[in-house]
Amino acid sequence: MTRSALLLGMIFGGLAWPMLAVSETGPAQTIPDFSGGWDRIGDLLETFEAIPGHAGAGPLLVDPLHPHVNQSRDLTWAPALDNPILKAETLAKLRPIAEAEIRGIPHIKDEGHCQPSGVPGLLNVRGGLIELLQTPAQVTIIHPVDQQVRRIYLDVPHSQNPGHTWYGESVGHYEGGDTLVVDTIGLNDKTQTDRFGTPHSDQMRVVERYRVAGDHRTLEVQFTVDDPGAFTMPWSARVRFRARPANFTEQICAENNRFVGLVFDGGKATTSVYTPTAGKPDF
Amino acid sequence: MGRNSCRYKDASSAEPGQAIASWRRFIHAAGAAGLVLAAALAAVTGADAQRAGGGRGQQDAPTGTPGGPIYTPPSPAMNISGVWWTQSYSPKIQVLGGDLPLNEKGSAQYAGNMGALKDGTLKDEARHLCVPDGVPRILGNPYPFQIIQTPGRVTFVYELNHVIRPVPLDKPQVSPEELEVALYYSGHSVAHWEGDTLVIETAGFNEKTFLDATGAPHSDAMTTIERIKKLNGTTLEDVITVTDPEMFTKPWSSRFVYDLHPEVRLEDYVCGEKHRDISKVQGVVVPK
Repeated sequence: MTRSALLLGMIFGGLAWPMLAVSETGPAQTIPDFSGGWDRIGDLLETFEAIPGHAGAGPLLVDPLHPHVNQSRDLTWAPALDNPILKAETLAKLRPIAEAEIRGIPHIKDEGHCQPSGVPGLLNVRGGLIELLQTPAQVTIIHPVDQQVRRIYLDVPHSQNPGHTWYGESVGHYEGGDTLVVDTIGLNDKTQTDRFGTPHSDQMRVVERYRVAGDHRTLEVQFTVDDPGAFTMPWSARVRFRARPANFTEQICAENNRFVGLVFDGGKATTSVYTPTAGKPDF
Repeated sequence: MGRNSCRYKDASSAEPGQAIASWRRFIHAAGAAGLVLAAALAAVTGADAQRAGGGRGQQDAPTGTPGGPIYTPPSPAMNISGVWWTQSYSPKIQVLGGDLPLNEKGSAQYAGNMGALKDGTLKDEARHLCVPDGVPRILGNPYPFQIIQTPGRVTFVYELNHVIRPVPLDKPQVSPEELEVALYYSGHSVAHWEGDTLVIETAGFNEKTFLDATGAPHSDAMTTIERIKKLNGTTLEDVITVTDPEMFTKPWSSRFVYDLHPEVRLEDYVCGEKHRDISKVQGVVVPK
């Protein structure tokens, strides 16, 4: 399957739920209800999960030789590096991060820099409930960890020149009464793809399918990442959430962003971590 | 000093606000670095605290929003959703009917802040570290912001410093204990409609913000009441009344007016990067 054909499959046909494709003869589109807070299931298991039954390429997963939670209960984010999705140059950047993790030196995640987690990274932030605020023409996704926010504009095409930004340009539409499909382009290359620290390029395109269960107890997001600058082929993964009462706490990263001991950042072990500051105020 | 602040500041040990703040710092640092142990994460993150029965709301597995997720305004005047942008900016907060009614402590604090900002011993962290401006300073900021109305809530999303301010509708304020231990830059807000006016009551502010860019002070005893109303289809006003007996001799008010900008999409905002051009906003002086 070609790269573009696979993406079209994600956008219009669904990946694991082909029965949910839009019916042109069906009733008027109902808007699925994503309200409330959503709590990641599997916090300490994987960064992204493989989609059960999906025959295509999948996400990086924890290296079985270096379990994510070892006997001392230290977290190790070491991926199995034999995944064929990795281009050689991506592997070359990722390998030292993984090796540092195995040595017990954790790498800094995007939110550790007080920077946006981007897409699909925002699905992967721990420490709070993600929320989808639905208005007629927009879905706004917010996360309390450093007050992250991304915007999805509904039923409109991409702009001619979206540029390159932290969350890119997202457009979306509802499908089948239970799904929100989001297509994101125009991302910068500053964020990490996953919690292993896998880099990506600014060519990355992400198509996400948010599907809420009929009883509103769970939310599953399946997505496909297509980035010929970083990966050899498109790959797909999922994250799952369970419903919780919304509880948006105020968590401000920059007020005290400190780390203890050695961390791995910018390709080296260090005790100094960058936090964005403005030398000159904007106004 | 306000009633709430007196109680906890006089506590001799293990001040709860500090304890929570410390945990938050730990989460920020350790969680971001991937250092968090499973037990620590489970004990202190918002998500897992909820599992243990903490936080706003206790019940499991909500079943969505009756009537659906889209808010339907009862009248056009109660539809305040959209992207709004201030008509003008002032570094000094504009007090209706005069000047800030500073008391003795407030005057001394203000003079101290101004001097320290000038000689550099005090940093305006909202501008240099991009932490939230807090209320009321955020109300006059020269960047656009978006009001998002959903059933049971109004959410203010500011472009500046990507501040998010959730305001539950027709809900009780959080408990006095939470107001004491969880002090927020933007405070804890609840709101209700009085006719076509959205009335927002806010308490539980931290003391890390100024009222304006000149360093006007407030304490954590500050409470505010905002009255937000559409003046016409494309203009919105927010009249805020500030009460803070630690700093002022009486309550005072300020008024902010915004224009609707449906053509504007809010942008990402990361500290130190190049941001939207605001040089044309009246009153803005962009440093060279």
